[in-house]
Amino acid sequence: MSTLAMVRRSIVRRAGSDPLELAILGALGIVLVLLVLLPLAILLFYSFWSTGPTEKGGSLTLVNYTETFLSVSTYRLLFNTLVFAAGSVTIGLILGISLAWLIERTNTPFRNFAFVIAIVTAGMPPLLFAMAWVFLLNPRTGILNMPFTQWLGWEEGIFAPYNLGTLIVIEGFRLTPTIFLMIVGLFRSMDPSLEEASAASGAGLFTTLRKVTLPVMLPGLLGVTIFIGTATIGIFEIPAILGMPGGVHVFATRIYLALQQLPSNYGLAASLGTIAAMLGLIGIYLYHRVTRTQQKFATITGKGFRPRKIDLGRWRKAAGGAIIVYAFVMVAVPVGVVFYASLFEYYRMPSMEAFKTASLDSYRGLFQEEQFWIALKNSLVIIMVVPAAVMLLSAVISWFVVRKRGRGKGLLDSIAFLPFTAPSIVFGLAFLLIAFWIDGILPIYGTIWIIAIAHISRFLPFGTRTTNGAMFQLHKELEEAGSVSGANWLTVFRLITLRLLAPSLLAGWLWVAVHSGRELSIALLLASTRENQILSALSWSRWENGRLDDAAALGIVLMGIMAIFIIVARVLILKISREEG
Amino acid sequence: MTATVKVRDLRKAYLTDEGPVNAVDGVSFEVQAGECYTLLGPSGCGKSTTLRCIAGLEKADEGEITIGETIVVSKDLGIFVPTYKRPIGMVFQSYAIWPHMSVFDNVAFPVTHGTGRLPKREAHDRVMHALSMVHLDGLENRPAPQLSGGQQQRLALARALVREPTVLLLDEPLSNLDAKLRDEMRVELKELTQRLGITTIFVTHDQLEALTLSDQIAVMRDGVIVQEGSAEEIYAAPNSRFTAEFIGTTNLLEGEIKRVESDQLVIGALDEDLTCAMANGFKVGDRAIVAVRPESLNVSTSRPVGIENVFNGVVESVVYLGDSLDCRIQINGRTLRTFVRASQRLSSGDAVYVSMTANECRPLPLEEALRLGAPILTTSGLDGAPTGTAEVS
Repeated sequence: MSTLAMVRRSIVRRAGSDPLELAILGALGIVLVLLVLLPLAILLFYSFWSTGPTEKGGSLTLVNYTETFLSVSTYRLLFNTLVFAAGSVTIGLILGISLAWLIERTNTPFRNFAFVIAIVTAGMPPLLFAMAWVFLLNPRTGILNMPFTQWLGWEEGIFAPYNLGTLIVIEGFRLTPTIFLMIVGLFRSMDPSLEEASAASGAGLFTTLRKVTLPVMLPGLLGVTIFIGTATIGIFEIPAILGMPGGVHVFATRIYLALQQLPSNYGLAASLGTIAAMLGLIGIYLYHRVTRTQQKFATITGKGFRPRKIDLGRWRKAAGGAIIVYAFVMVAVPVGVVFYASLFEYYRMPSMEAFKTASLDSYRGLFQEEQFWIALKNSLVIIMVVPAAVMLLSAVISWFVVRKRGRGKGLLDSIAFLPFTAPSIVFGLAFLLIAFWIDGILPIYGTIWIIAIAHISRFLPFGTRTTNGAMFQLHKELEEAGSVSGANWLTVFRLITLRLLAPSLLAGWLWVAVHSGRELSIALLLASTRENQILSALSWSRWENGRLDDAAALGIVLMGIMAIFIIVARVLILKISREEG
Repeated sequence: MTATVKVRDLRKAYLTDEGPVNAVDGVSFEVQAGECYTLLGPSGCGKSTTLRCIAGLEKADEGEITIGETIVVSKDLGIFVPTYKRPIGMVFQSYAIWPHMSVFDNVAFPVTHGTGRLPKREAHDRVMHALSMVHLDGLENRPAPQLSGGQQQRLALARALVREPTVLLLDEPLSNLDAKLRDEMRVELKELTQRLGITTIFVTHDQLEALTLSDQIAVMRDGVIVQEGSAEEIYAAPNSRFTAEFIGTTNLLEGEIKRVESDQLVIGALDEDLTCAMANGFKVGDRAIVAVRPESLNVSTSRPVGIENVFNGVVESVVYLGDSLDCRIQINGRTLRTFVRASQRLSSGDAVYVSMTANECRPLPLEEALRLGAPILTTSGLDGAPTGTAEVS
């Protein structure tokens, strides 16, 4: 608890000294220790411990690490994970940048449509996307292989899903909308006169793009690259569905297997998790370095420019076509294929006879299951509770980080960002270990709350990224005006700070809601009973048990819920920001 | 409803990347009840920090602040009254109007959510009264962001006054307004504070605002008060080169003290003897600076009589300003600036007599030049304060 004391002491010394403010800071410190430091500490502990949490005894040991580092498979794993992350981020960047450039800087048709597609895909469960590609690429039954298997009569088609190359391409596709949404702002806020100056110097469209546009945006792009790259190291769904059947493993899937085997190898899982977290730490370090220089990069300002749109001329139609293809690949095909698969008790390749046996039976069956309703209710609880808690916590943290002076605030910020380092599945593991420990005091193991708490911890960094930025934009005199009006800290925070941050809080809330709702790997380890299943985990377990129709139907239901949430939240955000002019 | 404010030995340091900086370095002053007291100085002089310490928005490192009978800050006694419990109203440089509230809700906030909460009816009356005081009645249902800059300024003032504070704190409230609006608001602000008789502490870098609004002015520099006095005292008798330069336009002449007479000093300046007003602390042989306001210079074509100091000069340049001429006149190789009536019809090259009474020549101790290579002729105008005739009209 010495860290807590340090944070408190260094901040308290300078605080504006509303006693309420100090109490809140103290509570915040305790929450962060329990939510962030404790899980990571426990993970670290078990990586150095000879037995798992379910066994008695045990001693300090290095054996988990020596086994890990002496095994060739670990280096394969490391290699796979890094190649997977690097490859998919590269593909995602190329597609995402092209799309952002087309939409923000050219007169391509379907610009708004492409935005809608990007936002909708943000709500698509990765599991659904992965399943879709299995249905498409399976060597014997895959739809894309149909010409070969059906018409040419081959045993297997030319597309093979279960290898690293396919993994990289599919994950690259999946990352595209996220990357697009993160960098589109960079394109929007770039001073167009820089490009105009290049054009005036006689440089052509592509020379300008290569020599001016991209270099100017480089720091921003680098930040996004590192951010996404670090996150991709921990991704589970795509490697689990497409990699594991072919024996291609990354950190997340290997940790999963170590825990699935009997008895669970907690030591190996913990040491792999710690190594993955170390990789993440390097990522964070680089990210902070890059974004710090980015702030000094004066060419990109926060000013609202209306950049001149480049006339694509005869390429306009081609660009429009590309956007349609993109939308098709990202949304129509995956959702269509998975919906198709949900219509048959046993998967059948598309044909006239197949369509005759199509039915909504799998949905009917699900709706009659008590388990489905439990999972639905739990998923809704997660979507409601997690984002609200994350954004509230983030707003309070950001208030101290941005408004207060002193060294403690940097520590506070770093602790809140720490969960970003570890893959989700590692969070699942850490909270699983905690649950064993505290079961006697606080029996939350096997309830939805252990999952909710793990999610809150997991998504805290994403919350504080949003609120830190927003808090910087909020002039502190707006809050001080509340204090000099005689209102105490809580009143000012409630009625002024939170209210003025509302558009950002809602945007962050939506982001967390979507990611929390579709999140699988935490629940994979923590959804241990009938009572604390959630939709994504239920879909996964049906897939594992070969009930592909149920798995597909659950994916579609989850996607539908996400879509409704996104639409409602965006309407709300628009309404609020419009009211404030 | 009005109170004295006492600040004693206030200190506040900030940690910056370059190490600690003493923003306020031992400031003491007393504001009488109902008085308008101004902290005047260039940016970074500690005036805003001082004000924010009084408001409780900054926590002083040392010192004591008393509002009325209540000690709100005392390092020795371990007292720190949080901002929201202090009987203050404050107007910020940015106005800090809450954009998510209507005009009415902005003003109502202190009486509905502050410490002195009022019943609904009473709060409503109080808000309407405050709004009419600043001539915003009729606009209460407008969304606050739709107000113009001047209206937002009034709104901020109404919000600061609605809880009937004993002290009104103004942090550069006029600096975001354009020049014409600033003139109007300055007059209005003066009328309002005088009518209410409220103790007002005003922070500005604009000497004109300070001179017109204040009963007392404290000129600040590098975290300390360098001179305190009424507007007339500060303007007519600056005690330092800094004050002389910062307030108004001043001709500064350097020289050595030749004689100390019963009620005058004689300084060798402009290659001749310059008779100055008496000032303590000088002895023969000291070097000193003589500050002479441009309007203290008298320019004539015939030699004036009965004035202590008369020099021969040549008009160097003349700028026509409509009602007056901005003249630069060379005397023995030095240039002095003055303003004369346009009817005097001077043109460059004219030989003139320049005269000034001893009383209007203020000897100041020699201190390091404020700005690198500062010329003897200095026109103040730090921080975009208006320069030219406006300062001396």
